[in-house]
Amino acid sequence: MENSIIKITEYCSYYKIEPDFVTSLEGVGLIETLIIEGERFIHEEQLKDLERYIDWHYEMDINIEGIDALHNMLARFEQLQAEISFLKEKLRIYE
Amino acid sequence: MDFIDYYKILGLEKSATTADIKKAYRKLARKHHPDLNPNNKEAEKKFQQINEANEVLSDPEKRKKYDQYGKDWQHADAFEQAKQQQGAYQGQRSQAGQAGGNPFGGFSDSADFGGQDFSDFFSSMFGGGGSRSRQTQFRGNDFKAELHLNFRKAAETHKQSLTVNGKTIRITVPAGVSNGQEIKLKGYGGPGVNNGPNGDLYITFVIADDPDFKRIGNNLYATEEIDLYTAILGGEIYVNTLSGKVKLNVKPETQNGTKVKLKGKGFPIYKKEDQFGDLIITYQVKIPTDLNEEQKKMFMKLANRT
Repeated sequence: MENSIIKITEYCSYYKIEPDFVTSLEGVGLIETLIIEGERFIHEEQLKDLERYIDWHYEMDINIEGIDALHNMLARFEQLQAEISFLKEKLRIYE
Repeated sequence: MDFIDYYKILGLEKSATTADIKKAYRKLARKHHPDLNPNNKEAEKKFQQINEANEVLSDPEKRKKYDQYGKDWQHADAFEQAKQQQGAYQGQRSQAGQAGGNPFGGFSDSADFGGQDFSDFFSSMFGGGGSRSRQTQFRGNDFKAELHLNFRKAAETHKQSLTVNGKTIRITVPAGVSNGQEIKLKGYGGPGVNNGPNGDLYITFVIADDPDFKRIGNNLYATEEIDLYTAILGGEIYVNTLSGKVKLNVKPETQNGTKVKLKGKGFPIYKKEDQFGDLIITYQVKIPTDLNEEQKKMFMKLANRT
């Protein structure tokens, strides 16, 4: 599948976001960007994550470290939910 | 619509400053934000209220109207206009002022301005699912739908039609989908705003239980009754699988609760062609009942009680 890429400076200017924020997110490994001829781009498929982090930061005043911690905790939460579902299924066999 | 006290929702006094409102909103958003409370309908509802309260109180103009008119604040302009018109009319008739009394003049509580509840208005604006204005400004809302499947149907690749928001979508359901599994159909959600991309459609599969099989992952579990004689002496039985009956050899002296694995007779593995889990059969030895005298004697003989 072909994915489009979006120029970060354009994205930031359109949504009034500081490009430094995107750079910081990349710094902690929350998103990946690519540089083409000196310009930084983001894959379209990562936009949903980026929007989510922007929301957390600008709406809830959560800093980069907090976003990173939340991201990890939510991943852990999802994993535990999946385990619970699996165990519930297993338990149903003995009911 | 019941009156919603936006100050109370944000835990603020009426004298709260803009900074107080921002701070209170952020604090509560961090607690009730849907991202941080997955699958929590109550938090979603609470967050919607917080959002609504913030939307009104953080805007000085809306806040002023809300402070003045309370629940009817969104009709403030209409009230003001009507009041002015009525004042002019009364001035013509009696030249008397309307000091005190009802500030809304001749309007009764049931006056219809053709408006809608603010909560409803916000639902349409924010998609009713706690999504934020920031998202709806450039990307359509994500839709969620459930697709109920028969257990056996989920074991085969087939096409299904479903209607989401009046639009019929035909999808191919690959064999082996799991109960609760979610798939994303990109771009099938709400339309984007300001040329933004459409949202996505998330379909969750709900697979009904089967009377014969229990499923864990790709493996199937079933219980098969065998009579006491087959359990002791061994023999052949036929068991049900998803692909029909198969013959099984029961070993002599098989104990109750013995499990046998039929490799590759389980559920198809999702998106892996011709790969299947296993079927695990648990033998349940059935003790004979209603024995006649002769049979009882034989058992007593076996038990050395004669």
